[in-house]
Order: sequence, then structure tokens, then C-alpha cells
Amino acid sequence: MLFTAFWILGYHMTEQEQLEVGRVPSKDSAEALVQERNYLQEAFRFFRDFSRNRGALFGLVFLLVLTISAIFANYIFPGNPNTSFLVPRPLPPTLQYPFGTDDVGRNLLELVVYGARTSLTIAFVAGSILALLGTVVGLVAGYYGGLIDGGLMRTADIFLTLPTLPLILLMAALLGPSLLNIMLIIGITNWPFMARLVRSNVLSMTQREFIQIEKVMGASTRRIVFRHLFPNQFSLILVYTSLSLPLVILTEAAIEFLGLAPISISWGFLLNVSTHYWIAGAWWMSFFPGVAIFMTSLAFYLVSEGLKEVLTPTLKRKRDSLVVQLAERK
Amino acid sequence: MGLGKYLLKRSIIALLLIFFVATLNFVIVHLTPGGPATIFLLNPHISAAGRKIVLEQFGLDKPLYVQYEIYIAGMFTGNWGTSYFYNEPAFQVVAQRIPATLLLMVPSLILTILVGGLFGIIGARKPFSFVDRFLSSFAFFFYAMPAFWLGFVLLTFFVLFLHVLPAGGMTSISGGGSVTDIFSHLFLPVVSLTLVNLANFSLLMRSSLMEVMDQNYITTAKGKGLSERLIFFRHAMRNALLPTVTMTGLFVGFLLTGAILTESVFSWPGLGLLTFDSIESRDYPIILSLFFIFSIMIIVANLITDVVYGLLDPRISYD
Amino acid sequence: MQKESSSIDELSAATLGQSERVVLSVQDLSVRFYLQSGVVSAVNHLSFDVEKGTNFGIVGESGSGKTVTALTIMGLVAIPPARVDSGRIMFNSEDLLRKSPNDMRNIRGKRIAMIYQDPMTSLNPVLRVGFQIAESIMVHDKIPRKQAYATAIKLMEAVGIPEPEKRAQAFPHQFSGGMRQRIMIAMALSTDPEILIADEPTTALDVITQAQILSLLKALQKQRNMTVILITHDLGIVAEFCDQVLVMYAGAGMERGTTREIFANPKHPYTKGLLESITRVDKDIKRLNSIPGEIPNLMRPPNGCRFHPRCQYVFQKCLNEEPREFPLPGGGFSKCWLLESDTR
Repeated sequence: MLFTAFWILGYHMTEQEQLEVGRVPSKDSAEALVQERNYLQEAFRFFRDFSRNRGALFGLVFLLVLTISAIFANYIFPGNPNTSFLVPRPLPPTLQYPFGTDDVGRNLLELVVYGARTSLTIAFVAGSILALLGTVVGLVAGYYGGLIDGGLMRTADIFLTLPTLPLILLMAALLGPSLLNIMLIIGITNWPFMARLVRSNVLSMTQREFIQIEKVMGASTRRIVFRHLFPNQFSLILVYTSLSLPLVILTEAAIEFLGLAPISISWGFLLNVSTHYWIAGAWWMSFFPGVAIFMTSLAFYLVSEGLKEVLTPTLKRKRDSLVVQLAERK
Repeated sequence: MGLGKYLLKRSIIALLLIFFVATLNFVIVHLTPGGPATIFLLNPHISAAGRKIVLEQFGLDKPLYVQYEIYIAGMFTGNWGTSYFYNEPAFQVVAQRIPATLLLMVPSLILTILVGGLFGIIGARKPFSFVDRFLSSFAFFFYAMPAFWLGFVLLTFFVLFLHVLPAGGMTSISGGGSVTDIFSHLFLPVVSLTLVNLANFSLLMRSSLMEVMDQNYITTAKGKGLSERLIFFRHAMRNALLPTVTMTGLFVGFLLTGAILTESVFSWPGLGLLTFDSIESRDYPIILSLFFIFSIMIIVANLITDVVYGLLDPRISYD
Repeated sequence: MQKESSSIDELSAATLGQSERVVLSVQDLSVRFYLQSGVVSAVNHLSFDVEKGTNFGIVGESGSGKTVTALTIMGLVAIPPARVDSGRIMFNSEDLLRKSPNDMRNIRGKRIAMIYQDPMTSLNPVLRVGFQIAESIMVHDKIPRKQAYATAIKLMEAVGIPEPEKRAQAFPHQFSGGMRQRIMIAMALSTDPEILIADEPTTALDVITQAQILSLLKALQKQRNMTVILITHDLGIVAEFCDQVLVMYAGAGMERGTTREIFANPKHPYTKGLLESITRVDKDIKRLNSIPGEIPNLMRPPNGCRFHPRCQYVFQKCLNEEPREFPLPGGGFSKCWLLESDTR
């Protein structure tokens, strides 16, 4: 997965951190050696720290199980989910149908597992769009400053003040129901928050001396951006993106629930259909898809909290030394 | 910046935003292939004359900028088109539903701020204590929860299993619209809407309070030998009040979104249910009108919070 | 180790002149922070005395432990994760470290006051300045509001703020940095404390304002016969304003003495190094030497003398044993094995 690559890179100590600890990387060869050893070590250390947070671990496990079941859904439930109906009306949960059946008699458990495909795909794609758009805008705005920054931030502000759900409604209603549209819409409505965060980070970094030094030394813009600014942001981008994933899942479910994107096998749409059958007492039709949405969103949230704990230093606050900061906690 | 100047600036921005939203509306509508009259125009049985009538009725035969003028004028005078479904002026249809939604939103907002705020304060008072961790877990739990699903769960539990509360709608035939009747119908939707937002609000409150407690001026206050309670309630909370005001504006937006979903679940006859229905029936004038009114509500709410913020923050009201 | 320290304290107290009363005595203070990643030894067996009415300077680089010491005296150190592992802080024959939180609160802000480094963020932005100054006396001395306000205005006048009646109603953001620092001073002095701890009060200010604030402090000190503990990393300030100096490094007191002695005749290699790295008006310096190396990681401090990795006079004993505090003729001490031969 994209994310695996992301976190390995994100955990690599940048030059700046090496400087702060007092070890200045002297030559390129030495640096290369240090880097290679770092990856594996860092990866193990990362996992260990991450696992300390039991909630995060649970979330990760859940997501893995979900993803695997989604990918291998057609082995677990052979046959087209649309054709496996028994009786054309909703049946309550039984041993054979643990989640019951829906209005046309399809196995709800199967539908939920297939539905995971939709949700997970949307989550990752929309999340990536979000991350990409936000990062690029944030980097550009933060690095160049001035008019470009001002212009970009005003646009971001407009997006922020516009009410999101109505906008989503409008776009979805008019652009038509499709998977792609949802992913685009969610990505586009959420990027400003990411852009702001990246930008403020970039700003605080450009103030720092080592960037000034690089500029004076005449390093090209690309070098500064890619070798210095970007790697520092990896962890943060990862954390922020994962923090927004619960919202993505919920938004996607809401869009489907309102009928704006009736992708027939998706959790939100299952809930939509269930509204008509609830009165008849078919509570399982709304309960189980909802549980799926809830658990997935919760899992993403727990994982993101875990990532946040591991990747971002908690004492990133004001003034001088670590010791003083600790001293004033009381 | 001076209070007057600040207020003026905020009002102008709000006005511009409303204008922008209206324009956006117009642009999107006319960008869709076929435009607002699509349903009628796609009808294969339509004759040339009939087509002309449709175009005329929708004003689509006029040049774009004229259409725009008419549209904007219409927006500001209350002429928002006619609903396909109800065959009434859209404005009326929408306006009729506003009180019901407000009935849902206002109690939720009050509860969210008061109870959510309280939880946040309790948590921040003794961070990482048992109470704090309990409240925070509770908050995280509801944060990830889809609001509409919570509605279903509550309905299932209270109505199907316990038969305690009514199944939906605002009134029942037997009740006849009395206060208790409405209240019993209002109870579950409000709880459903409030819980999720309350959790979110309490988390924000807590973190903003904790951020304030980290500030240098709190250390100064501690150095003065003031009691912990005095520091928390006088020095810290007054500072935390400012972001709280901003958050309230934000939460009006969240509650609106939540109301849309909650009303759909509970068949509560407000703007949200209208949204749900009009999407199903592809009633474009209504959809667009709803978009417009949602935007206005949020923009106005943000304006009000900006004003209150300006009044409360001495950095703005003085100098 | 502890026995020797206290005898040295008695010795230095004796030689400093028994007529001077020691208002604050830090004895063998050790403060450590117990973190997940390790233990930070921030203050390490620190001892010094402060005489009443003097201006006592604590000099050191960042990370030397000077701020932690100040916070420990004030009782503002967070006890988890920190812990005071040894020592006493005697304030007028009472051990501050043994006091209950309530008692400590009565002392803090009332008898020992502190002003901080960054005036821009150290005042509460939503409370009026006059109130913030008056708050201490309202709370500590239970003085009614009107009277407290009147006192606050008088204080503002004393610290040199023009139009104090009007300005007392203003908010902190309406003042410049120098003015805010003056307000902090007024706030600290409101209860007429015996000791004022000034933690790098001028670091965030420009040079001219710096001079103004320091002379203000000096004048107020004289007026009120107050003891000032001035924490700084700037030797120039020390030379100008302090009567006595404590040089700190890596959490320990390296040398102590009167300003005159320290500058004229530094005994500790670290002090010497510091002095060699600044320019002086009284000497013609062709070249500034910096002390090689860097400050140690307080989680893994060097064995023996903490300064030994950077010391040009280092010898075998320095690597193994931490030096004692050897008393100097003038009344101070130097924590260095070099002086062992002298005392023998």
C-alpha cells in the first residue's frame, strides 16, 4: 500500500534532526551508510512504538482484516452478490445469514463485505487526492509567500467558509452518481484544511536557519523543497491525512445515504434502502451496514491517533530547552 | 483594527459570500448539460412549439447575462423558481420547513455547547485523570459514529424494542400537535443530533483549554501564587472563551449537516427531509433553493460569531 | 558528599561575613526529570547562598539548569516528571522543599516573586493591566479592589509608565515590549517581596531598553532593600549589575564569587573560557577564543567533572571523580580539582 511506503520514508531522520542531536553528517558516503541502517531500524522501532497504543493496534488489525476480506470477497462469497437471493423480502439474522437479508433477499453480510471495497477505495483515493492537493498548495504557498501565498490562502478560505454538505449535495446532485465523482468531491472539499497545516509548517521551517543557509549557498528551489522541506512534512502529512479519513468515510456514507450516489453495493446506500423497511421492523438492514461504517471510521481514527503519538513530538511547544518545558508543566 | 472597522469588514465579506454562493448556484445550474429544463427538454414527445414554451418559461431563450440578472434579482426578492414536485414557488416550500428545522437545531445547539462545554472543562481541569479519560473515550466513540446510524439505533431500541417513543414525524394523529406530543417526537432526533456534536465540541473545548494552560501568562499567574481554581477560571477560561465562540459558529454548520441526515432518518418535516425527498425526486429548483438557504444560514451564523468574537477580544475592540 | 557540602556552606557563610544575613540558601539541590526515554539530570548537587540586599547573578549557557533552579525555588516545577532528589532550599530558616503546596502558594508571589523572559507572551491578553498588577495584593494581602488599584497605579508610576491612571485600564497588547516588562516588574513588586527572581528579563528586548530595565531594577532594589537573583547568559549584564555571581554548567555550580573576583581572577576553567570568549573594554583583545565542544546531553552526562570533555586543563582525576567545591579566599568556591593542590 502507498501508506507503507509513506511511513518508512516519514520516519527517516532528516538532516535537521541529525544536526540538532549533535551529529552532523559529514560526507555523502557516510550519510548513505547511516541512511540504509536507519530504514530497517526505524521501521522496527516505529512498529514497536505504535503497538504500544492498544487502540491503534486494534484499529490497524481491524483495517487489515477488512481490507483482506474486501479484496478476497469473491472467494469468501462465491457468486455474484446480486444473484444470490433466496426469498424476496428481508429476513432477520440467522446462523446462515448472520446479518440477515435485505429487501430482495441477498445476504447482508456479503453485501457489507463487498461494500467495504467501495468505502476503502473511496477512502484511499479521496485521501490521496486530499493529501496531494493540500500538500502541493501548502508547499507552494509556504515557500513562495507573497502574492501566490495570499491568493492561494484566500481561495482556501472561501472553500472553508462554504458550507460543505450543501456544496457536496449540489455537486453530487448535478454531476451525477459515480464513484469517481464522490472521490473527487470529497477530495476537493477537504483540501484547504490540509493546505493550511502544511503551509504553516513550511513557514515555520523556512524561518529556521538551515533553510536560509541553503538558500544563501544557492541551492536550487527543487533541492530545497525535495530534500529538506518535503521529508519533514511526510510524518505530518501522513498524520493529518489519516486524521481526515474518518470524516471521509462518514461523508461518503452520508452522500450515499442521501441517494446522491446510489452505488448499489455500498454501505451508505444500504442504509438508504433500509429507511423504507425500517417501519416493517427490519432493523438489521440499517444496523449492520451502520456498524460497518462506524467501526471503519473508528479504526481509522484510532490508527491516526497512534500515528500522531509516534510521529509527532508532543513537546513541540514554545521556548527554550526541553528541560524548561518539562519543568513548567505544573 | 478598531471594532467598527472589523465589523464592517466582516459584514462586507458575508455579503460577498452570499453573492458568490448565488452566482455559484447559477453557474453550476447552467453548466449541467441541458440546464434546468432538462427533464422537460429530454422528453421525446416534445414538439418544437412545446420546446419553445419551455425555454421561454425558464427564460433560457434570453442571453446569459440577462438570465443572470434575472436570477440574482430573483434570489434577492424571493423568487426562487417553482418546484417541480409541489408546483408551488420554491421559496414558499422551503420557507415553510424552516421552523421545524430550527426546532430541531436550536435545542441541539444549546445542549451541545452547554453539555459539551461542561465535559470539556471537566476534562481540562484534571487532564489524564480517570474522569478525563472516561469523558474523552466517550467523546472519541461518538466522534467516529455516523450520525444517521445513531438515529437508527436509537429508533430501533426505543421504538421497535421498547415501544416507548413514536416512530417519526413531528406529530401523531392522536396527539394532535400538543406540546407533549411534539416533545415526544422531538426527543430522539435531538438526542441523536446532539450526541455526536456534543462529543466533538467537548474534545475541542478540552484541547483549547489545555492549549491555553500551556501559555506563558499562565506560568506568570502561577508565579503570583494564585490558587489553581482562580488561575483556571479567571485566567484560562476567559482566554479559552474566544476560540469557543469561533467553534460555535463552526458547529452551526455541523448541526445543519447533521440535521439534514437526522431528519431523513426520523422523517422530521424540516429542511433536511425536504433535501432527502427532493434529491429522490430530482426537484432541481428545490435543491438549488436549499443549497442557497443552507449557505445563507451558515454565512449568517459565522457573521454573528465573528461579531461576538470581536466584542469579546480586547485585541480587536481596543486598538 | 553531603556532609562535606554543608561544612563548606558553613565555611563560605562564615567567610562571606556574618554580619550579612543569608536570605536564601540552596544546599545540595538535585533535580531530575524522569522521562520515558531516560532520566535528565537537570540540576546536580547545587549549593549557593544569597545575601540579603545583594544582586546575585546566575550565569550559564542554555541547558545549564539555571531556569530549573529558579523554578524549583519558586515551587513551579512539575513534580511528575521531575523530582527533587536531594537538597534543601532554606528561605529564612525554613525549607521551601518541605512546605505544603498551600504554604508555598502563600510565599510564591508574595515573598518571593519572579519575572520572566518573554514580556510579549507573559501577560494575560484579556485582562486589563491594572488588574493584573493589583491581583497579587488583592489575593495575598486581601486588600480591597479600589485600594489595590490605587497601589497598582502608584507602582506603574514607579516603574516609569507614563499616564498610569489611564494606562491601567489598557490591555497588554497596547504596550511595547519594554513597557510590558515594566508592567511585569510592577506586578512582581506589588507585594513587596523579599526576593525577586529575574529570569533573563532583558533577553527579548533591544539593547537600549535592556539598559533601561536593568537600571530600573537596580534603583528599585536599592529603594526597597530587596534581594535580586538575576539569571542571564550575558556576562556584560553580570559585570554591570551583579554583586555576586554563580557560574553554572550542566546543572552544577562551577564557580562562585564576587563579580570583581570572577572577572579579574577566574579560577574555574569554564569561567576562564567564558571570559575569554567575550570582548572587554579594559583589555585589548586580538582574538576571541570559544570553548571547544558542546554542552553535554543531560541524560548521559560525562563521568567525573561534567566539564572535563571541554577543559583544557583536564587531568586523570577529572575523568573519574566529580570535584568538590573548594572554597576560595574571597568567600566563594570553585568546583575544580585544580584547586585541590592549593588547599593541601
